[in-house]
Order: sequence, then C-alpha cells, then structure tokens
Amino acid sequence: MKKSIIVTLFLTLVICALPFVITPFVLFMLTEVLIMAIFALSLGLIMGYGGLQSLGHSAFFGIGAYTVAVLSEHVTSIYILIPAAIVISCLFALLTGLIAIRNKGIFFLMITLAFTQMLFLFFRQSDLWGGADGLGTSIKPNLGFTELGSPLSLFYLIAAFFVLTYFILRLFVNSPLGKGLKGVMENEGRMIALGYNVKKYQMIAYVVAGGLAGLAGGLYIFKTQFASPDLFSVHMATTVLIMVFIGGLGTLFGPVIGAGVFIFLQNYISTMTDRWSLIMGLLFIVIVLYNRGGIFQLVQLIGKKLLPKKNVFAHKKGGTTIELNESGKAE
Amino acid sequence: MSLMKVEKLNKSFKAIHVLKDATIELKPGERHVIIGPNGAGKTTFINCLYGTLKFESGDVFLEGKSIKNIPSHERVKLGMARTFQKNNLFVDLTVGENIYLAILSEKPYKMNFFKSLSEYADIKRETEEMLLQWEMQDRKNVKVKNLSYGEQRVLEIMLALCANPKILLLDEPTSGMSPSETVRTTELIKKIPRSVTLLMIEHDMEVVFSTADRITVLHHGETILSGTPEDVRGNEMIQEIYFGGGARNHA
Repeated sequence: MKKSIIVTLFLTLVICALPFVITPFVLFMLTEVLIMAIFALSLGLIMGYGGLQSLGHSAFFGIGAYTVAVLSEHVTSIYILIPAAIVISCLFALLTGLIAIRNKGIFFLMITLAFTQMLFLFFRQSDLWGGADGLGTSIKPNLGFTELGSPLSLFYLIAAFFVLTYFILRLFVNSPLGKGLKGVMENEGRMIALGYNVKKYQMIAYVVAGGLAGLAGGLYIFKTQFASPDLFSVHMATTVLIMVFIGGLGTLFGPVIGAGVFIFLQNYISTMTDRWSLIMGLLFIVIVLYNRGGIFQLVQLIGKKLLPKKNVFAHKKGGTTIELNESGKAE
Repeated sequence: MSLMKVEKLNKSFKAIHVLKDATIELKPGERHVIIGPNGAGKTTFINCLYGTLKFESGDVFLEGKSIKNIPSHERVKLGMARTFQKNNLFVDLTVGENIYLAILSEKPYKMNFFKSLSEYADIKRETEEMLLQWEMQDRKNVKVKNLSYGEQRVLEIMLALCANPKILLLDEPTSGMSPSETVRTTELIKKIPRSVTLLMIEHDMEVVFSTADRITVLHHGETILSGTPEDVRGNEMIQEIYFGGGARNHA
C-alpha cells in the first residue's frame, strides 16, 4: 500500500505540474486523454486482469454520459451527478454481468456486444433524450462552493478523478482480491478446485470496471457538453480496446499510455492527413505482431536493458540500486 | 466411524454407463488406492466425489453428511482437496505465486480490497514452509511452465495440500514421471501426515503396494473388491481382470 501511495503521489505531482509547461491546446487534449485513460483503465482491468474480453465496454461510458447529461437539466452539483453516473453504470454492469459472466471467451464478447448494440439502437431511435441528434447541455461542474468554468480548472477536476481511479485500481490489482482475479484468468478450473468462487471474482471486476467507465462517461459530458448515441457505438468500444492493446494488456499503467498515444496521434496526424486511422492501424498491427505487451512493455524492456549499467553506476557512487516496480517506474 | 462414504454411485455419459453402483468407504488417516484397467471409470469416480461431475443416483457422505448438492468450490471448506490427472496449474505464474494462491483460498482476507497481498506476513511464511517441506525452495521464482514435468506433478500435490484438507484425492500422482521422479514423489507422498486421508488412483503397482492400506478395484464401473493389499494380491479374479484380461499393466 505504501508503494501505491508513493507512486500515486508521484503521478499527482507530474499531472499538477503539466499545465505550467504546455500550451492551452495540449491542455485541451490532455483533458480528453485523462478521460479516455479512466475508460481504458477500466477495460484494462477486466481484460488484462480478469481475462474478460469485452466488445461492449462503451455501454457503460454512454450510460455515464447520458446520466449526467439528462440529470444536468435538474441538478448541477457534481456530488449528485458523478455518483449517479457511477451507480447507474454499476447497476447495468450487475444486470448484464449476471448473464454475460456465465459465458467465456468469444461468447462473452458477443453478449457484451449485443447489450451495447441494444442501447445504441435504443438511444438512436427513441424520441427520448434527443434521439439520433443527441442531447446537448450547458452543464458546468458545480462543486458547491464554486462553479468550474475555465479549461484549467476542468483539467484539474478530471485529473483528480483520474488519480483516484488509478490509486483504487492499483490497490485492487495488488490486493488478495486482485491476485485471485488474476488466478481466475490464468486457470479458472484450478481456482474452483482450490475453493474460490470464481464467478464472484469476475462479477466484482466487471461491476467495478463498469462503474469506472461510467465515471469516465460522466466526466466526458463536462468536457464536451454533448451526449450522442455514438458513445454506445462499436466504434467507441473498439477505440478503447485499441488503446488498451497499444498501451499494454495486462499492465495497469499501459492503457493510460495507450489512451495518450492514441489521442495525440489522432490530433497531430489528422492535421497532416485525413487518413490518420491508417497510421494508427499500422501501429496496431505492428504491436499485435511483434510486441503483445504494447508500448508499456517496450519501455520496460528498454529500462531493463539500461538497468545493469545504472546499477554499476549507483554502486560506484555508493548509492542505492534502482528497482523496477510493477508499474515500471524507477524507484 | 468412516470419514467418507460413497453409496451406490451411478453415472452415465449418454448411452455409456460408466459407474455402476460404485461404493467405497474411507477411514480417517487411511491410504486408499483405487486400481483398475484403463476405462474402468476411476477418474470419473474422483470427479463425481469432488463434485466436478454430477451423477444420476447414489450419494456421497463426508463425516456422515451428504455433500451431493454442495458445489465443488465450497467443498474445500469442508476439508476436501484434489489433484488432476493432467497437470492443472497456473503455468504463467511462478511456483511461489501458485502456492500463495492456494493458501489464500483459505484465508479470511481473500476478498480484501485495500491491503496489498505482499503485506500479509502469514501467507509469506506458510509459502516458505510449504516449499521447504517439498524440497522446492530453489524453484520459488521459476515460472511453472519452465519446471520439469515431475516437478509440476509435485506442485499439483502441494497446491492441494495448501488448503489443509482432511481428505485428499490424488488422480494418478506419478503418471508420466521418470522412474527416479516416481521414487522421489512416492517418498514425498508417504511423508504426508496421517491427519490427511488419501484417496489415490494409481497404475504403478510398486507405488500402489508401497503406499496403500486398502485397495479398491474398479472394473467396468463396478467396485468389485475392497481390501488390504494382501487380499488383492491373493485374489485370482483380480489377477485375471487386471493382469490377464487383455488390459495393459502400466507397472
């Protein structure tokens, strides 16, 4: 736990310092990165630690977004809006999870896809909440004592939620519960024989991931002020899936890097060419073919290559050795 | 009093009647070995006892209580554990990680969310003890997929013992082992304390006769005889079925 606190504090410091060194445009982009990072973290949890391949994770993002967008006509306090987005996504995860978790592999994937498609079509074709046109809102995050209007304050608000999400998930994957979950992914039959209720582990992970994706969706509305049925689309689900893969499946911080790389490439390459997704596709293929652990593993490998030299250096100076912890940061 | 009693178990896979009124009784501390030719239904029998498979009729009693309807993951709490005929391990994890997963299943904090697993001292200590007892200390940080086959078989047994079972079901613990590995594993099995009752399937006759207190012979799904090793050795019908009836002797 101590290690988790140190790493999280370090992360907080970095994020707090960022706005002082970047341009407003990059800040704008980073805000989106952090939202997508929360989303990708939640998918990374069930995929990389739970072994549950989902093609319907956008359902929770969309639900969180619509919850905030719809409720914002009546309330403005984020103390109601954000918890509402999380709770409703959790409930949806609980209901669909009861059916989806009974299946494995491709069948789990197809069922999650089916649920998401149902929501997509419902929000597009019904007359409720704007239908296919989507639902606009003029919501600004109301903290009770003040209303956040500037892009900078919004960045800090979202950063706070991001850091909190990272901290909770870090505790989760290192806790007995998280280790058990990983065991279920590695060998479900053996876990049953050892006396674990494996469905319970998968269910908990699925609901936690659903809630966090809902949180990301809710925060997304504060930034874009517009909820569209496209949030439920397969395109959205695959986008986050690609982020997780590019960053590194099975690592905690990987999806965060994936979200960052994806959005930066999207923004920068699209200024040069309309075919930016072609380049993203190439990157994706290279990673799937040659580096399944994603960018994160690549960084780790390079780090390990450099490590012995550093150790010798540290030894000469009589200093401490440098160790790579689970998230790959040197401590 | 018997620790475990299985009464007239029947199990079919579609048209094939695999177990026919299979019956067995285990006394506390006993080393009980099931033998029988290939296809006799031995593994099916173990799977039914452990709840991995459902059966049509009959009943399984543990300390006098029927456990027929208890799901297999809850049987560990009642003091049952099993190994598998084919290795069934966490191959991408290290030996140490395999063992702590097995120990963790018995801990009250196994669903704890906030504290890191590495901060629990008891699980660390018990893992070390287990490794020491089974002479695997130097393998702690080796990934299971990089172990030799024999070592993996031993790890199977270790994982099952981590839950401190009253009764341990071993499905061919020495299958596929080299002769020297078989000898080593047999010695380790003999060292399992008598507080653990063993029910074992085994083909290797040397292992059978050197470990068994009682032997049950399963033939075409029927438990045709249950007795001491001497009873079995002297029984002509068994000789005929097991060694002469066209079945291959694995020893």
